[in-house]
Amino acid sequence: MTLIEEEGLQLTQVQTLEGHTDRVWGLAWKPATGTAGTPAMLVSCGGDKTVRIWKQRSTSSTSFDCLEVLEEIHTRTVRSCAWSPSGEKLATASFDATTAILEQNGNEFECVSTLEGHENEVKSVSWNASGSLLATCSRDKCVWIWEVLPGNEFDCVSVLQGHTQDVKMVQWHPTVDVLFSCSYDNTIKVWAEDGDSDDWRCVQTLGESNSGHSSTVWAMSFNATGDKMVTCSDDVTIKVWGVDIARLQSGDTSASWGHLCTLSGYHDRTIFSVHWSREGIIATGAADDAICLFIESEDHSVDGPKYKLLLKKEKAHDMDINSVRWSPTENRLLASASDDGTIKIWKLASMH
Amino acid sequence: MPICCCSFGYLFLMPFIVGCMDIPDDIFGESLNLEDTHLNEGFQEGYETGFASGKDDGREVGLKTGFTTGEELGFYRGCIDVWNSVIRVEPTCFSTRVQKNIKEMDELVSKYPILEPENESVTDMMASLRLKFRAICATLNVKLEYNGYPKASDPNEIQVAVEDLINYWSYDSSYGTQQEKWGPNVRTPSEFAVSCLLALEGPY
Repeated sequence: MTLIEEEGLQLTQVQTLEGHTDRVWGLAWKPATGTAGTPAMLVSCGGDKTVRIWKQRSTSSTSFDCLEVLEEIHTRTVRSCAWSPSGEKLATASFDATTAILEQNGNEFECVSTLEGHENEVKSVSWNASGSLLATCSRDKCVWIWEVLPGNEFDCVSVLQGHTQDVKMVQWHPTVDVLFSCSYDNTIKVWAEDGDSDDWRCVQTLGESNSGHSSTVWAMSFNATGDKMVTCSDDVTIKVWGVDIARLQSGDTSASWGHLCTLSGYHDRTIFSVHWSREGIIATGAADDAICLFIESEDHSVDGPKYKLLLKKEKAHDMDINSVRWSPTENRLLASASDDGTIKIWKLASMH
Repeated sequence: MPICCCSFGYLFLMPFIVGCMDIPDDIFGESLNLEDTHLNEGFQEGYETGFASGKDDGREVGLKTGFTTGEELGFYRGCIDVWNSVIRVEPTCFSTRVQKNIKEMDELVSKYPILEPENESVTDMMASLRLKFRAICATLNVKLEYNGYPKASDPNEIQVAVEDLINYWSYDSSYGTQQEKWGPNVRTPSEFAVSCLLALEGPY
């Protein structure tokens, strides 16, 4: 039965994770956990300057316990966190202008490296698919690319300028080493390396003239195959973009992204986060305290794919939702983080 | 008899008439052009004063720009020279990437057209130098700078950011959670602006 055919799908609250003493900004599920006998693990970060690690009590349990609270890592709000693809390293980006790299040692996490260079608040950090590159972005309008070297050495590969305002998020493509960034300047920029020479440049800018957003773009997410990207914005719309994936994967960095469809009218306030699950469900979290889920609609028009609302969970939190993240495994668990200081774990299941 | 008087009258007037032959239209021409004349005189005066003042201003700006450019290039030259010495002593101390960047910086500083401030390529060259410098410092994990080193964010930007925020806040001042997002004791746009400034300019 395909997702579309399932009926009575509901988003039920499984657990509320409390502990943060200020708004929770970011979340990330640890890769390769939550499946095959390994309990799921989740990291969260927030305005209370802490990074918290949560672990599922057992693979059959729905409860999560706080494994560790990391307080000394940053001196200001921790804005974003991301696991390396192998789950070996954890990167945390902070308003203190640094990005910390952490490693797990038994039950403890220690900071093995600190990346400095941004002039002010770092907003986001992202690992590429192979874990060989790391990208960070900041209010200083720059995007930095770092190479991960043995011995926890990080070489700065490039400092990319181009955005004219605060860069909100960076995200690597799931299969190709192409970097995406979105900003307060309403655009999404695509960055690729010219040859093999550390020469990274902006190969495309998705702005209002290409049917782009008309206000700050807060987040981007890719589908499993990487041929589509979804973005969300302060303009209260969600946009889906597509690319010729065969061209992109064959190394043609000029393969350009085109607008496929715009979803509007589902949220009436800024949409801060969007995440595409491996199964194809798009989740969004917004300042209207609601979570929306979208799936591809069966009736394809001539113009391309269309998306429909699967469900809207009103008042999912008491305040703005800053991040929504699907678990990387097939358990259809969704985590959401909010200004109310809590993280909620939801399960998408049929009620029949 | 009258004919003789008239011709005598004309004879008397002749030199005068001949003398005025170079005025094209009429003898009142000069007084009508008085406004234009004064305009031209005034313009001339203003131009000369402005020219002198502009020259002084230009000299001041030139001195200042020359100093800051020289200071920055000199700083890079110093760093590059030290790094090159280190590489000569211990060739493997820096990664290939860092060494490549140092070499590129060296070339840029050497090629920089110091005596041609109007050369169009100077802005790009300086921007490129700054980026490479930041990348090298980040990789080497060092913080090198001097008083007056140019930064990305300047006071004007902060002002614009604060104005944007005030507009956003005022637009939806009934939305209580926005207030809390920026500070618990903020009630008015001016308090909000102060808390933003403190947040933006506070120490890391």
